[in-house]
Amino acid sequence: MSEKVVRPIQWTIDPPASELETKEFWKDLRQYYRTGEKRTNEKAGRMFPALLAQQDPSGFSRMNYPFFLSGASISSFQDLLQSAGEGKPEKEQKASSGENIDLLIKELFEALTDDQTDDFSGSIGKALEGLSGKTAEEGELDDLKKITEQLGKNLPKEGSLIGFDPGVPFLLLDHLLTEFQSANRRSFKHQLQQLSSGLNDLLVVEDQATIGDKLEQTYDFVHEIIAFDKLAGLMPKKASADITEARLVRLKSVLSTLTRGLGYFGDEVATVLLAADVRKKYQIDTLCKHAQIIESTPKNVFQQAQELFEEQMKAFTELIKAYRIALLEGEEKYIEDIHDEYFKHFTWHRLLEEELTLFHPLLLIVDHSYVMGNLTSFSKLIASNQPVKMLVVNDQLVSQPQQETSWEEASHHFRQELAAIAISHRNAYTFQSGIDDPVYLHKGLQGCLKSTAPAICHLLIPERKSRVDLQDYLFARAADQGRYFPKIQYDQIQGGAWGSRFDISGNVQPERNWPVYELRAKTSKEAEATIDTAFTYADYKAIYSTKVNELLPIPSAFYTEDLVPLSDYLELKEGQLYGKIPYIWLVDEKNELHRAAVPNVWVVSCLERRDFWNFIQELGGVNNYFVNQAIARKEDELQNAISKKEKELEASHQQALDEVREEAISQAAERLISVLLDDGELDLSLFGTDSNETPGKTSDESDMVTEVAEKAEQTDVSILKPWVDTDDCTTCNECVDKYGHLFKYNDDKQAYIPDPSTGTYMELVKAAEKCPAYCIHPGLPLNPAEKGLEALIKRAEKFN
Amino acid sequence: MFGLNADFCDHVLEDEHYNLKDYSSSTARWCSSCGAHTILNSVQKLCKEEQLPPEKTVFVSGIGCSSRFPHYMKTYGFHGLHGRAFPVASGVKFRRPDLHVFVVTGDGDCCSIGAGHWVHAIRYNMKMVVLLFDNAIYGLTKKQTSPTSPLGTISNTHPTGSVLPAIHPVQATLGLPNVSFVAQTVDWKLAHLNATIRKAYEHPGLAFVRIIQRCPIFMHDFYQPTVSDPDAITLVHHENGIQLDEKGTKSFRHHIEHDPSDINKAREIVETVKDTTPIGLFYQNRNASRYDEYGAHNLGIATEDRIDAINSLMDRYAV
Repeated sequence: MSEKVVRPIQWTIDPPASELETKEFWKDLRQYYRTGEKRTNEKAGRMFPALLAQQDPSGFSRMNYPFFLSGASISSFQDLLQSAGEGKPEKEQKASSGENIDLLIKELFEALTDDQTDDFSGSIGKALEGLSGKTAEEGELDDLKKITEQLGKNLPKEGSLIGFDPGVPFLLLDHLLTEFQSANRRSFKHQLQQLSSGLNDLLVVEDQATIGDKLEQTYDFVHEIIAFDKLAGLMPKKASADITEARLVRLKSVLSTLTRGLGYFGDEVATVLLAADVRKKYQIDTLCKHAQIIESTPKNVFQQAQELFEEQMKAFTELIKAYRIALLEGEEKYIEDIHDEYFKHFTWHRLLEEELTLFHPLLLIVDHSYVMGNLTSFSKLIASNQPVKMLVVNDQLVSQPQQETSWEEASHHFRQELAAIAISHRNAYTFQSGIDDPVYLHKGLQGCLKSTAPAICHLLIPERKSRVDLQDYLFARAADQGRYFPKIQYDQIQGGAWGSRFDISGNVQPERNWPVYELRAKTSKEAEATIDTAFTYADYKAIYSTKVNELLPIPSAFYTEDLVPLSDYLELKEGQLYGKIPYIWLVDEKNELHRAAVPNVWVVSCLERRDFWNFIQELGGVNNYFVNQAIARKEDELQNAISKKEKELEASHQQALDEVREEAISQAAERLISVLLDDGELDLSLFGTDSNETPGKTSDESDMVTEVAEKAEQTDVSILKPWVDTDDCTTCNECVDKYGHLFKYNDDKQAYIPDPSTGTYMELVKAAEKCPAYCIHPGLPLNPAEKGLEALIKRAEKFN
Repeated sequence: MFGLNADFCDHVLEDEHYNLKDYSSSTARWCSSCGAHTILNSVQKLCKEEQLPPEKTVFVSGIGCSSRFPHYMKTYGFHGLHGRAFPVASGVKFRRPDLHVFVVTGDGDCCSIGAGHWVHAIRYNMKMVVLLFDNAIYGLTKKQTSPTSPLGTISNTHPTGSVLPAIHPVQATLGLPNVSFVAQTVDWKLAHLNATIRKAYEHPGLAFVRIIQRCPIFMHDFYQPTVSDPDAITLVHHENGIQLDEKGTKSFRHHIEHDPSDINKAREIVETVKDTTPIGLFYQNRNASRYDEYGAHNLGIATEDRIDAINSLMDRYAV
């Protein structure tokens, strides 16, 4: 799409249609609004939401891909490039900003799509090659090269540049799993090794000590051969002669547990439980290399996960138990009276947080629809508070057409919001996001792994296909922008106050109902219009070819004030909606801008999305009822204070005025008296009387000149072509019934021939003969190859 | 949901505009090339031009091909009993003078079984348009002689030709008391048909229009010569009659100037012009008494008052 679109968006406005035509069109339009049925099935060609077609690096189509992943850190390429440019000469900085960066990223996007395994310099090289000749000014490419070289130097050697791909969440997850707690795991493994070797030594010596005793008992001369006193000095401290049988058993079992436990810290760092179809759809085997992958059985996955968790956690708890006993034993602090009882009841709930994080995460990857079908067991699993991580994959980019009734088609249904359901359990870490922002995704997945509570990651991931393109990225971004799939993060361990747990700041323009961008369109060669355009849920839906056809582009001749932008329409009160029709901006394949009417069903689904958005917005502290109330109260107080102050000022001002006036009156009276006494002429100007004359209005109204339009020269109607004297048609249905392919009715239900080539001359002649109004004129045959023309022409003569 | 009613814009907007399809209901099931199609379209055009609200318009019919008419209009309609279109229409008009009433009837429906009602409807002279679709045959029942079939018409009831002279609906109507509007037209002269129906609609009383209508299936041979012969029709015209434009008037070769206020002359034309078919307005009297002016006096009375009136009436019989 974006490659084809090279010229800027054009917007041509036709002169308005006549009043009657407009009325008729609007009547149909209103009917379309109510029913969604179009009067004609004319296809207007493929259309897109206008914002998607706009080449605007800072706005809607900002690229968050590719990103650079190294160790635990992740940064978007755009940010990296900008930071590499810092401190560089202005010229170079300029070359690596604005349009150039946008172009470079798009080239890089392509280069990475072609070959994901390419190294950094290779991909950049390819991208720069592709960019040659496209930059705005000459020499910019070289400057850009310099910056990228600098960037190459800045970047750590370990790490890779990753492009957009639906598999990115799994890639990030795999990466996170290997990085996650790796240092802790290593040190714990080391500790275990030390402990077990220490214990081993102890037990060997213990065995040896026992052997000594036995020898002594058997051979009383043994003392003469072995100096046991000296030997005891060489042995570990207290190679206890007083070791009890119970302790020996405990130590042996601890040692065997620890030795087995060492294997726990091998290459595999997690267990992934998933269904076969999800496994295949996202090729998880290649993406999650460091996990043990178990395919779920047909029985309930959540139950299976719970059982698996209990089994694995039991083994892990045993290991930790052994570890703690070993620690106590090592320090000679194991007191049987206390600790026997304690360790008898040792369950995973007693594990410390840092111990719990060493547990191999149990990851459950399930499909969204599966969760919705098994909500009870899903809820049970969360309520059990077992730290199972759930990755809920949702590939439902819009409601699938094959579904009988989706939540938006049944316009009074509300969508089941998995994130909201999960949050309602209070204890679960909940994260919802699309894949448009890898940095945000990384952060969310990291939180999921870190969480010691159940965690749900609800991700909108399109199905993996052989090749992704820029459009796939824009679609993913649009799902977020159109509030179809808002970003949510709920982390209950962040703090007691709700505000610190719940976060929606990952969304674009979270303070608004819909994000607003500037749409620029050329209205003529020089002029350009800038329109503030909201990207609504309807715009998001309109990116799908199956959906956009439901919209009705409105010819500009029929624009009236009743046509309002959808985002404004949604804010109107019921009384104001009367007669209004909402529209969104679309562009066609030629990049021409159109307003397209949105049917009521779409409006209702937009309202549903806005309602959910407002719901989480308020939870996230935007437009919160209580906050708003407090603000209003404060404003009232301030307003009252201001008006009080104003009144005071007014009163003092009035007082001053009155004083001045009284003074002026007394002065005037004095003067009048003096004038009268002097018997002079009154000069009224002394009293300050103004003349109230109003200047005569000059009427420059010129007579309206009405021009009589000249009659258009009548063009010669070729007598050769068949035609219908439509005005004379009596609508008897004869011709349209028999030869419907040739004859059609116009809006007045009178016949005409839209295209004579759709029928034969024979049919025309027969129709003319049958017509009771004699208004069909067959003309001469268009197809000279038709049979029996001579006779037909003769028959047609009297009708021509 | 969300307090937004999808139908909110169903309120009639002040500038509501009806177009042709707002008056079209299902597809008309008359035979192809039947003249009734033409009349249907002509009536729909009138409704559109006059912007008659469909909910304020009623078409009443009896039985016959023509009487299927109300089905094809997206207005109120009453497809009634054979010959009883007039009493139903009179009843509607009597109680609801605010409605636009049209009666669609055929030669069998009006002139045969419904003849008694025809006489009284003309005499009542309530404001309505009566369209008599006269094809001179019973078409719906497959070709039986109708009261307007010309003498000698061969049909299933009279295989050797009909034996009685036909009723002339215009002549008959002109002979009825309190007649106020009588016109005749043919379906294949579109401009004249449209103008006649309009004139009838504008008449303040019962406007009786006989439309000579082709039946291409059973009476093809009877109508074809008239349709194709430019000499077969005589235009009856006057400045107070049916107005056609210059082109329309010139398309007729034979003309008679006739003042529609002269009923005797009208009777004379119908009686004497036999070789050609005279079309136009024969008679109009705008001042004839109207029975509907005497009905529906209590329409403006409030419901409470009406209940009180009924109660006081009933009290007379209280024991």
